[in-house]
Amino acid sequence: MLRRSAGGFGALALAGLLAESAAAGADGMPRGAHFAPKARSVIFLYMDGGPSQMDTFDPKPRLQAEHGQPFKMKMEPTQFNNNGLTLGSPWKFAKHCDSGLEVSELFPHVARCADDLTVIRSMTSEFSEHTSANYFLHTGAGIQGRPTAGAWTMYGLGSPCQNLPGFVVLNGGLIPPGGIDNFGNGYLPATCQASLLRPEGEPVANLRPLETLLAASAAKINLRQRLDRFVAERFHHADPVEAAIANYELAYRMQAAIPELVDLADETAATRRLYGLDAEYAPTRTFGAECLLARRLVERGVRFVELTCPAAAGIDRWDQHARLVEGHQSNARAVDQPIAGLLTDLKARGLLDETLVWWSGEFGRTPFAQGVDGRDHNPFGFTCWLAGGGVRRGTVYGATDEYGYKAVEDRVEMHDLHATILHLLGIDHERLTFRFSGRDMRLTDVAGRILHGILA
Amino acid sequence: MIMNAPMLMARTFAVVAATLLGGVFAVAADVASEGPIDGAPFSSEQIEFFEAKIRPLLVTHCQECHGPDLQEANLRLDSRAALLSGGDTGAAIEPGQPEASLLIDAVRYGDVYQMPPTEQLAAGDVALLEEWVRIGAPWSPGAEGAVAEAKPAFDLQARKAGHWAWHRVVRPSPPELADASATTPIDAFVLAKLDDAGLAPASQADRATLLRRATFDLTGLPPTWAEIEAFERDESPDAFARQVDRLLASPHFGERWGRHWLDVVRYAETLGHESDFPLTNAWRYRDYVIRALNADVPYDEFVQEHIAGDLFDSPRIHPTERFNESILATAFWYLGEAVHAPVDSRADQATRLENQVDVLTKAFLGLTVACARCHDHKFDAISTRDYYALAGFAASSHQQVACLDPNGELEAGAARLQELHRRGGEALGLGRAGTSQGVRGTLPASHAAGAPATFEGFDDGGASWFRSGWAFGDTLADRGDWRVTPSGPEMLAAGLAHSGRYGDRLPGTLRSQTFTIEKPYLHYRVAGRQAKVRLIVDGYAMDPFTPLLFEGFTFELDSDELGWRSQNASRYMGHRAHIELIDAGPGYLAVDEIVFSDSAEPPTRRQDSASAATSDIAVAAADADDDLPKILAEMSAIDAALPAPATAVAIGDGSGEDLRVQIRGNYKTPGEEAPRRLLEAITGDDEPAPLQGSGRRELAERITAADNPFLARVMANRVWQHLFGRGLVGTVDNFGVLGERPTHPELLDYVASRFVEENWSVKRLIREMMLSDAYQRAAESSAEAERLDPQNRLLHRANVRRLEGEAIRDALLAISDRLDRQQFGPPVPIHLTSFMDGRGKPAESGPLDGAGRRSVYLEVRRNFLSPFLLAFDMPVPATCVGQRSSSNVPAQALCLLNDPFVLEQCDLWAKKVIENHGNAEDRIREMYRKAFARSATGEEIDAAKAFLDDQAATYGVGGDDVRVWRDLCHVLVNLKEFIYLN
Repeated sequence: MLRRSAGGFGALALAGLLAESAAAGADGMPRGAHFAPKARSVIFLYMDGGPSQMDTFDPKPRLQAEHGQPFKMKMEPTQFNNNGLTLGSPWKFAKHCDSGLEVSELFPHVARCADDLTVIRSMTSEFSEHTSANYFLHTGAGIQGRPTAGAWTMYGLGSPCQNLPGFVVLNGGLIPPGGIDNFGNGYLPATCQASLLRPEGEPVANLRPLETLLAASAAKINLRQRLDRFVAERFHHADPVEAAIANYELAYRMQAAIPELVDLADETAATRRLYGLDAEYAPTRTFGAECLLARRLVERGVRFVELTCPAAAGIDRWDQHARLVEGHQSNARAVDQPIAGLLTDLKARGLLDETLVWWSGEFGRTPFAQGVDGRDHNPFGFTCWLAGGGVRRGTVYGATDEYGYKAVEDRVEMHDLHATILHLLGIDHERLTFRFSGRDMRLTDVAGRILHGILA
Repeated sequence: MIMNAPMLMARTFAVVAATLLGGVFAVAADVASEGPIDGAPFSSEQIEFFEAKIRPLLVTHCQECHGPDLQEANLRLDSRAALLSGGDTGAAIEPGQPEASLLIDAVRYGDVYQMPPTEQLAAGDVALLEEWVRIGAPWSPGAEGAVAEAKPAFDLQARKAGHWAWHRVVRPSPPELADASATTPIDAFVLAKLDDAGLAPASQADRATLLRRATFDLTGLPPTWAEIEAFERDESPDAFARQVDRLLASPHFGERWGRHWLDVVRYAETLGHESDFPLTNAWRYRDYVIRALNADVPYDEFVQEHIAGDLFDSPRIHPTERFNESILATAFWYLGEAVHAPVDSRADQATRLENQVDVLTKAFLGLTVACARCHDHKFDAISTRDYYALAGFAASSHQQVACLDPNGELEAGAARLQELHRRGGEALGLGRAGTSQGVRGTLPASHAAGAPATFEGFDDGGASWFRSGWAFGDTLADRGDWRVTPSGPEMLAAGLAHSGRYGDRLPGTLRSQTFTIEKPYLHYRVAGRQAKVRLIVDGYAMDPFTPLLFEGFTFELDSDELGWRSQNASRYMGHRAHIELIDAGPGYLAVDEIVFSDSAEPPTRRQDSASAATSDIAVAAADADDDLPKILAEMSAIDAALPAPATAVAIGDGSGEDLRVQIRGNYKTPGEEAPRRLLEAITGDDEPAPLQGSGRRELAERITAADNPFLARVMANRVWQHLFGRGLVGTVDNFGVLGERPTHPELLDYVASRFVEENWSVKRLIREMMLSDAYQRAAESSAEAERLDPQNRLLHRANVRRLEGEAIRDALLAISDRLDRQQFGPPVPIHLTSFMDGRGKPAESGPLDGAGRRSVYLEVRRNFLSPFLLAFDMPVPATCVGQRSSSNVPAQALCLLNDPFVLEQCDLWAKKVIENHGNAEDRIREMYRKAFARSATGEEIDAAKAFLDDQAATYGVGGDDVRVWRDLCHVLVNLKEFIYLN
């Protein structure tokens, strides 16, 4: 009675879902891609708070030249309305690797992977407030309650992984403004929701059986299975009941698979070093563990992995409204080596070709100071980068103006980026729809252009 | 067209660039100086300039999207006529006026459009276009070309005529059946369809199954075994009707159905977004809903209370606390999320209004009106004007903290105080009404440019202001007025609004009419204690949580001397705003002038009346008669005995504001005015009744009028869904074209008609549905029936349904006897697991078991929702969700297997079982009765007994050990029967 079709988390729930989506008047879970995918999995390195583009991947000589002078362009309204003078970058840029891609000295490790990056310097957002911008970055809408990109991916493709959730958020300690709704499934079925996994301590909620005696829990499992067979008969093998029984088998498998996943004992010392697990700075170790887990997850077929930033004392993620130097340095220190380790390791294992790595904040920062030594939020132009499955290597796409303030060349909107990411996964963003609120909803709303210029 | 400084700056850049182009530009400029500004013919040089410089730009950068193939925004840029005719937002150019031309604004990346979208034109190209417009936009003759074709007309009447849901509800007669087997009219409709399909219905469910279904459906709790036995023993023909009546009368009915309704109105107790600020006392709304359902308030009245409960002349009164019950419903307007420190406050307001319209229209009409915010609805008979006409009701209102008056003590106290105040005035030899001498001069009506403008002089006591509470009284503080102070009577100057005339403790608020901020500074001449002044811009009310970007818009008063306080609103020039003067209880507020000014410095006083007031006091004291001390003492005593008001989130009336349509949903491109009214396709050509204030009272009347086909159908369908597992219209929140069509259209109209006939009684509607055979069927049927109707659309059997998270949690508490049936009140703080993190996290976690309270009383924090309830598909409170998912994910199994709450309840249950019953078999039987409302079978008992022996052996304990029994309890709550109804 239980219909098994495509694999994964979603599939076991399929029977239940079929009934549900029919009731919802939706078309059911679309299985598989619309066309051959370039990437199988996504690792989203979410840089909470908004890293500064002109201090990382978008060098601006004119900004340096006019440092300390009144800012010459019109200033748009800012979040803190405390705009200061033109603020040159405190960091030097250099060209790296064969591509000569320019990276600032904030990212010495990532710079060595320059040939693997496609840097998009012309990203834009529609919001100057963290929370709205976070929702927009994640869900394509600036309000609470919409499905996040990872959920859409699950909805579109499911996950080939049989014993792990297909969409995992590795929580480094900082839940971004807007809360876990950034990772929510919104109106999509709960099968699409993220599982929060911690790199340290108990990894997943309610995973550890409270009963420690194996024989006792085995007997409980046996009895439950036996009595549930009576229930199934009593319910005449109704689909929802059969599916819910099957669901327990997946839960048991997860209970076994996750401890194995988070046990890093089988990683070599060299690998651990590569990711910065032995780093002096604790946030580097945390983010290193996240990156290593991300590799282990995509290795096991998990579809979408998002990493949040590690919590570190004294810095407010990438959100440097003041003390830019100190804050950005600490943030970069936490993520630089682990990210480079991840790219290097994925490449060495042949996984980079089928994994899309996406590095982005919710917006960038202003080229003029907030107060004297900070930068305010800037949605008008900022940088993100992609690496891996299906994107060009060692290139720059788009440009901001001479100050790095606004995107002026090959402007990219959030829906364009989302459309492109789905495209790389083999999904036509215009066909990935879910009927809700009387509309066929999309991650890309009514917009989105594929960025052909960054495709390999 | 929006002008601002940056455009000028862009222009400066452009001119610099243009000079580099040299000759061509000089030619163009020469021509411009003598050429025609509009209308052909143009000189050959002008046309040459157009062909050489402008046409290539338009072809290369514009016409791909605004040309023969595509007309984005209904705009074409391939002929002069097309540019002049323009698109959605009007003409693209104003010949001769580059600064007034949208095309130029767009290529400059201005406020409204940024074109071309991917890459800004070079500065030189922008300069060329500017110059071209400046010289009159010359175009080659004979090449006028096509204008963008008018978009297909939005034909509201055709859409209305073509879709079933707009048609009036007409009560159909139940079909006549050949074998007269139908016991109720509902069954006649159902059986007719089954007959047509050649299907036989399933048999009746057995009584235990039926009562379990009915008890969960009506109360969200499991039945007791005694209730099952009583029902099984009852041989009377109306046995089930009596059960239904008993359950409908249960206080738990409102809790169960209230939770259904809370989904519809996106109920939460915090505001979400970044910091999850509290929506203080939102729980009063939750309690209102529960009480209203238990009291079976007619649904049309319930709806009217939601829309305009603050405006009722005779509101319903709370049954025990005796305060205004109706006003509590209006919290519904403000249950959405709220953004703090929005950089664009108008866009933020537009988002809030959209959510309000969305929830209003889905909840009551099952229509997706918010889809028409940016364009006429793509499918339904709903225009953009309809959207803004409804949004205007919300924009004409504002959030208020309503002062509730338990037992009417404040009202009575205020009346007595006002009377004593009048007598006191007489005793003081004052109080001669209408004797104002106009001690102050009044300003001339017009002012010299740049002079401060008086917004309000309170010469009439602020008669145009909206009053709530009692403190400011109904009359103005005129010459000769006075107030009570601890040190005796104090005379008040004329032209003063004062909230302390009657004493210290009465609350009261004055709200101004809505106005446009036209000068950057506001100055208030105020005094007060424990009172505050607020400037509310674009309806933004979050500044008390963080003043960022709205600094000083709320300020507290702490001085008895009238003096100037100022606000800098320069950031909000041109925005709509209103002022609130708030005395929340103890303390007072006095104000005698509010001035708008270009200067940050407060104005000099137009005429100081302090000396007049002082001399009045001398006169007054001399004239005072002997009654005065008694009056003063009595006033003090009454004042001291006044209760503190209870407070609730509510809506309040403001000036009526008709919004203008925002073309493409952008407030920067306003279109025609949209007078406030209900949807045109419902009201037809009716002239809306003249609106008072916001007009919500008239909206409440109109939406509940007999010609609105949606109100009854949508609610009857929601009720049907909760009883049968699926609505007759599956998409309960969308009766539009994209929604599903009803499976049983006549039955839908029948139950909708019955609903109205029975005075909109939800309980009677439920009763009628439950007494049908259709409700009482078993869940299983023949293989043949499954083949013909696999999704049970024809209702040949009952649906197998999973319980909601709340019902599962409540059932766990019920079987463990931990359930605390206390009703109402502030929520139980949410229990925080170590996985719940983020900004706005409460400092303290609530209890693991929610203090044993029903789930409806657990705190609903938007950013910290219960993981247990979320796993079982509680919807996130973002918009109206009338239909929950019923998903099946491992997190559900993991919750029931490993959540410490579940284990704790199993432990409690095991102890009760051991304590109450003797031998193992009795205990097992009792457990099955409690968990599943049925008797255990022999097989089940045997399996359980064997298990108990095994566990005892494994643990090395005796058969009565709690661990052994806890394990059995734990297995039983993990059986699917515990969370499914059949």
